[in-house]
Amino acid sequence: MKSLSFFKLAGIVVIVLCITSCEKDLNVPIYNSYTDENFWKSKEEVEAGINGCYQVLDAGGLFTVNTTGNIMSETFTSNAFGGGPSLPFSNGTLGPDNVNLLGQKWTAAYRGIGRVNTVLDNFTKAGLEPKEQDEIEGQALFLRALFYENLVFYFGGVPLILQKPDLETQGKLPRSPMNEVVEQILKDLDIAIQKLPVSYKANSIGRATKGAALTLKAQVLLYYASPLFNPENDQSRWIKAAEAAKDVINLAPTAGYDLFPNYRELFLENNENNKEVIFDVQHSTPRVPSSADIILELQQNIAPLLGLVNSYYMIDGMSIENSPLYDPAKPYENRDPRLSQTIAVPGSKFVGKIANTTLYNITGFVFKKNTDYEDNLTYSNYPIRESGLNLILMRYADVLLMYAEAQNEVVGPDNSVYEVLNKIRDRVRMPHITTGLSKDEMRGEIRHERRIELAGEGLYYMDVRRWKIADKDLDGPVYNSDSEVIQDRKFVDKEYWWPIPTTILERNSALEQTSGY
Amino acid sequence: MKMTTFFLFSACLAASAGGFAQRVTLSANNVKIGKIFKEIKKQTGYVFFYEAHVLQETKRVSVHVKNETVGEVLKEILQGEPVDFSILRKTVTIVKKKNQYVTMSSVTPLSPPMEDIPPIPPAPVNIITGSVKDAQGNPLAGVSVIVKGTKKGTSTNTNGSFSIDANVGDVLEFTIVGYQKKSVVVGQSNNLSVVMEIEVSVANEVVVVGYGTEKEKNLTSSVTVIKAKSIGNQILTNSAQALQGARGVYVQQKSGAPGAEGVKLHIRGIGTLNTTAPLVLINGIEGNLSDLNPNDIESISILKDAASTAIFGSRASNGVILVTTKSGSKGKPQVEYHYDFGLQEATRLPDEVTNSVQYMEALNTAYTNEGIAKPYSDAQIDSFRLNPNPFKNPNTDWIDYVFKVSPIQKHNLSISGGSDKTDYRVSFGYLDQKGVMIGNTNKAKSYLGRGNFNFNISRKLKAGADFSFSYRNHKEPSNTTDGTINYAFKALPIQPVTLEDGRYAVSWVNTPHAVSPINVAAILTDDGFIKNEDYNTRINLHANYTLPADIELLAQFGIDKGHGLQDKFIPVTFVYNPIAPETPLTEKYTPSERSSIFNGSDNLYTTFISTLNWDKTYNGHNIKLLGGFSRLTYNDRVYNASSRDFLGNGLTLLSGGSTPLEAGEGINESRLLSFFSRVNYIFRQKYLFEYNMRYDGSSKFSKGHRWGFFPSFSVGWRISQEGFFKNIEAISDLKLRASWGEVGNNGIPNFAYLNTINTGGIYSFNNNIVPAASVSTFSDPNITWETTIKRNIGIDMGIASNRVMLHLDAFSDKTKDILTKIIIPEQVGGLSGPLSNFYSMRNKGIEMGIDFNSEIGKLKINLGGQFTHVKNEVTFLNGDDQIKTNEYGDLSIIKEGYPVNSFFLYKAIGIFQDKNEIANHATQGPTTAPGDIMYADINGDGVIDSKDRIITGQSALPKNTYGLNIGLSYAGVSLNAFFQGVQGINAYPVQNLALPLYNGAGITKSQLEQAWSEDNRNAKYPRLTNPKYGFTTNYLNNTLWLQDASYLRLKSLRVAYTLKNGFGKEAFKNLTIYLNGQNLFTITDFTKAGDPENVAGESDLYVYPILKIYNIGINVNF
Repeated sequence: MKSLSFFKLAGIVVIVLCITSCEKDLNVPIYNSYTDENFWKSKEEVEAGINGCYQVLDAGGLFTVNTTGNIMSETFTSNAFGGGPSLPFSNGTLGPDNVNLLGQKWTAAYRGIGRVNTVLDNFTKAGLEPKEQDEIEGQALFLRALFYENLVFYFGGVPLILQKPDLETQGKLPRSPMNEVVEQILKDLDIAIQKLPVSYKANSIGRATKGAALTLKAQVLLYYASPLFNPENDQSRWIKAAEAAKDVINLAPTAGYDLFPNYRELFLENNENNKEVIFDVQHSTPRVPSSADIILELQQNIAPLLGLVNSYYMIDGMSIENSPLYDPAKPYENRDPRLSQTIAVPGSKFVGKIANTTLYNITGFVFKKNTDYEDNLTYSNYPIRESGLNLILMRYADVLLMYAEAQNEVVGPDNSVYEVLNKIRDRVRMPHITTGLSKDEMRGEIRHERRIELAGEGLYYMDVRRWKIADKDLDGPVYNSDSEVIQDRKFVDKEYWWPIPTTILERNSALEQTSGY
Repeated sequence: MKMTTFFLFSACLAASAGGFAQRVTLSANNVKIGKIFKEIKKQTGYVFFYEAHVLQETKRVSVHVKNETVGEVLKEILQGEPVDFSILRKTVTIVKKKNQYVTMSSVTPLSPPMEDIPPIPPAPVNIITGSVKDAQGNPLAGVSVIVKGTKKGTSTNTNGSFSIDANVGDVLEFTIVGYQKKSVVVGQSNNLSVVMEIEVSVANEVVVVGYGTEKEKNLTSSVTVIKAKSIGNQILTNSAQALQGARGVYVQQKSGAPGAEGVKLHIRGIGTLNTTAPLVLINGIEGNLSDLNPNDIESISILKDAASTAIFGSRASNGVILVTTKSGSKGKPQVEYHYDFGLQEATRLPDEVTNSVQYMEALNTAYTNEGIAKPYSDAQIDSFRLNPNPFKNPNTDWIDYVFKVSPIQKHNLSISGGSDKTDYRVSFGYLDQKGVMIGNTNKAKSYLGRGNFNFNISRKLKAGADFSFSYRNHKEPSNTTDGTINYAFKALPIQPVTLEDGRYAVSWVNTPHAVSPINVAAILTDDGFIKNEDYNTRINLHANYTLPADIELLAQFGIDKGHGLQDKFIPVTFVYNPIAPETPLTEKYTPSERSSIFNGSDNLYTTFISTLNWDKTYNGHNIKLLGGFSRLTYNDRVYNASSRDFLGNGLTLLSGGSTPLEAGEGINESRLLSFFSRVNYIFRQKYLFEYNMRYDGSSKFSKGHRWGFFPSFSVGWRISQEGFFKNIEAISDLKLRASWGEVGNNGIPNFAYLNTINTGGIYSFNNNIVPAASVSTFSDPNITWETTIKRNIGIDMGIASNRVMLHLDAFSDKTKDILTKIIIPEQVGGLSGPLSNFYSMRNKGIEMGIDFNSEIGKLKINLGGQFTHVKNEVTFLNGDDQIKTNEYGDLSIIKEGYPVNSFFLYKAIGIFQDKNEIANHATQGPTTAPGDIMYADINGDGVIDSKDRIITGQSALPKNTYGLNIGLSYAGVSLNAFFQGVQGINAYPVQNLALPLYNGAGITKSQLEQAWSEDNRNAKYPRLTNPKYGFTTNYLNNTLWLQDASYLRLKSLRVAYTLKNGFGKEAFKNLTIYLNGQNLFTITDFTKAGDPENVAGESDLYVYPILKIYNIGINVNF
């Protein structure tokens, strides 16, 4: 039959055609994402890669008002009360089962490290100008140092990973000794200092600068010299710390760093990226907003404690116990101006309302710092407000305090120590530091000044740990504005170091638990 | 492109192709009539029913016809012979000529021929005449009519008429093959009209299987069939619910939300943790059961073992569901109308503490127990105690306020009919369902239309087409349904619903961690919404052509075009504090300003299938061969956009906002190329063999890992056909089956094998938004198919003329290379782990079904039970145990030797009653106090820590599922009930109301009554503390909070009354009125705050409750 042979022939043709083209038919295009092979080809792509590393700064556990973010860590100290997630840090129960709390910092830091390492492995592929290439590399190394700093000073030695993520080679790495990690941080920073520019053009303000790398180096060295991390009191660490802080001070004229004239306004969105800011987490409303306004004011999750309020001096430079100016009936009058610029106290005006203990029912106080609310203004969409306020991580006043602290340890209270401290006092018109202090007395003044100047900025928890005074500061009753005990705190010595959460240990059996847990 | 060439070619082929014809061409001299019948059967597919002795008296015939109809040919050759014939559809029945006493019986081997009946002596009495028709009103020829208790009998002629002598009071029995026996009492009327109902005889049933059909008696695989008749017992909102009660199938409803029921089908347990949804084919084309009107379903075949599913290769590991829709039959147009109206309410709701003072004191106690300041002052509590007031100091029962009774209604209309050449059926369904929450934002509507058409174009060419269109929409609150229910569960009794003037209120008392300002009633009634619309259009064209040598070529082409739209508007709504009513507070939404969000999706799926079929019977050997090719393409596109800065809540479209914000788009394409074939061999109707294979190529894997081969082999032995079995009368049918095969699962995302870089992120520098790119997942380039090796042995047994049918299957499904997103150490870039072929597990189990049918006088009884037991075990793990965590740490584990995702918990062994007990027990932590949970020190080291956890061996997968059907009917009244049960399943919900006082939420009455205190030492739960924050010791994942989610539920109960040929006139053929209830009661130990059916596998309790529905319905056939 004619038709049959036609079908036969057609059938054979079809089968042959099909089999040869089948494989091809299965190659479908990818529309939605770049792959390792076709990315990293242009300047824009490499820049997007480094931007992805900055993104991690805003992740839970690092520099936020949540869980173990730096601002939340105020509630682990006598500065603030947090209820909620901070309770394990204040009731002596911190342990490896506090998975969410502890794991967030660990995971966020390693996520940042992984992204940085990916950029470092690929950024040369795009054929950028040497200057552009240096900027990328410098930023990457600065960020890697920042992420490792956030691990090593909490957990101690951690796995040191410098290549892009790879399960096989990195999954089972044990902890590296703490000194190796710190040395790597310093190594990264030294290169970053060389490669980074002093400043950026408008659209890039907020990226890591030479000054930021120098400041981070000073901070790492200062921490590393402090009693908790320097049990043998190796004096050379203090010397290096002082030198590094001095380097930032020396750079200030070139970079334009100086104290911003108004302490409260330094922290408002209108004055973002001012001359005092060295490095911050950048926000922009509505797409990259800060949640601090809600957490601090509406939810009062980080509520200042009476202990912090009472530690502000009177305007005569004396403590409330010693000053004749102190009137227990009007406890908030004649105080260091920084008190009312940092904290809304009962009876004062904030967000257009008179603050009181019904409104602010957790401790009677709320932090103004890190919110973008003005004292006398109400807001149309109040109370839900997510401002674009940046979260300052490093500012020039801190550099001055770091210098003072290190220099005092190296040579005692020399003129340069007084000079920087008084510069800070001058801004808020507080009296100068009493002259003729001993080294130990000066240490006390510096620590007090740090607590006041940097209150609510997420540095105090690290300070009380590294000074090894947490067992005093973080223990005992804490009070609200009516002097009622709202919690009786406990601190156990092992809590100077954080445990590694159980879940993380289970995924890598080579990790050793922090001693004491 | 070459593929296109092939497709075009095949399409042409199909257009000129054909199948069985209605007409016959014959040329024969002096042959036995039987031989001519065989030839006609060969040419037309017509089946002949007769008993051998009927033809004994016929002569040899000669015949020469060309292109004649079967009827004409038979008329010619049987002229003058002592036999009559009748044709019903494609069945020819040959009987002895009228007025000769005839015996009629089935030729099926199951019921042996009756003895020939000698003539009765002539005794003229009363002549009764009448006609016999089928349910569609077509005359039935060849129906045997016998006067019961006598030997008087006759049969109907081609017009379905008969006449017989009988007295008043005599009982006439009507029988014919394929129909149920019918008895009619002779009354005063001498003219009877009898309607015969089709008999659902199991063994002869034709079952739809992959790319063809097979007689159930010849199946060697495990297939369950559901017929149209058993669907329609309930008001189904989703066709997937029609599978309830089918053997081996567990139908889990994940939500009662209108338009989003989330019905999940599990066939024989869960064989993988990836897509567990079975492959659903509607008339051969992949489809979605929710786009299908349950009233359009003719039959559903559920393919369970490898023998039946391997022909679907890489998509078959979860089983395959083949749905066939109804088509028309020859005759005048049939009209059917169906209406349903029902009322719905939630099955289970939390029993929250609604007394504000009780609640406030409970939270104060929790804080005091933790040694921190009380959140509520005595003055505040006194205010509630002394001055209760619904607008300031209320005792609000939020659950009662938010949930209500709501209506549901359904219309269905269909028209069907046909002629010799064509048949048709068109239908339309409409569903209108309101939700059980207040407000206007939880409701659904659907419009489902379908048309099925079949054409006999020529003797060799048949073609058909079916078209369907569905439009479904459902609305949700802007905060999503579950999100809003979360707020309803979180709302506290101290919050007034409204102020006195009707404005929505918040509580004047602050509560730590309570979401504020939220008023769930405002969310449900304000201007916000999420509106979902889904369109689906399907075109399915198919043609058969009979090639020389009886090879049948089939070509099928299907297009499935779907389109989804989602409009979301977030309004700004104000709520007010009773003590500062002048200050509007903005209701908390995310984002916190007016915005409109649009999500769209578009998909185009095409299917092309071409098969060749050959079927030959020779000398007791029956061979069937099938070979085929298919090409499936999937193209999905999604897009979204959003805008903000609206002037008010009036305009809600994107363009109403002045700040366009974001837009996105994504396209996913994938393809599947397949070659498949099947060989069936049956020897002497006793020994059955079948071989299937499929070779699948998928674009989802990298080159070199794309092609998979999936074979299966099965055998069957119909023992009841053996000579030695003939004497065992009690057992009417007995078959043994065994099968082995491999199937795959390709339900994984595209390009999972590539390291992709996400470019969607943003960061800002100096308020300039910059793009951010990052790798978020670590990938495994070598991933490939996960395969399941399925083994099955089964017995099918019919007892007492198949009145009792028993099915028993034992199976073992071993899935290897299961693709899992493995969790990798965080230090590897904090990345989520790769999808990797990671472990193996086995589901071993048995599946049983028993059906009992009986008649006691007019009472018909139909009982059915089914039971499936599955034992799941992880058999191989390529690396470390995989642990899943919730906010309290480890929760479940994948570990060799245990069920997958077994709960991994501390073992609670009681509650500490005093300090001595604490001192004498292993150390649990510095804050442990009387009232805390005592954990077992498993490793005996004196310290309770993570080493003391146990693997419970329980998981969120059910071990046993069972169902029970009860059907009773008496005259026109019937009663049907269906029970569904699940046993051996656990759930571990946390969060609001699952744990008391969680994160600013309230507490249930039983949690409060059962909380330990000095005065309540015999309590079930520990002393009150804060579960989310604070002293979490009592909330470490432990066995105290593990819940048994087993349940037994009356899924449906229906009472119906059917009236036939009503009111003496032919106003309608029949009319059924029924009352029906769904989910009427549940027996379970599960927390009252949730439903075990939809909470199983969830981490919280707030899912839309399953609904209890009471409805009334009417079904009329014209």
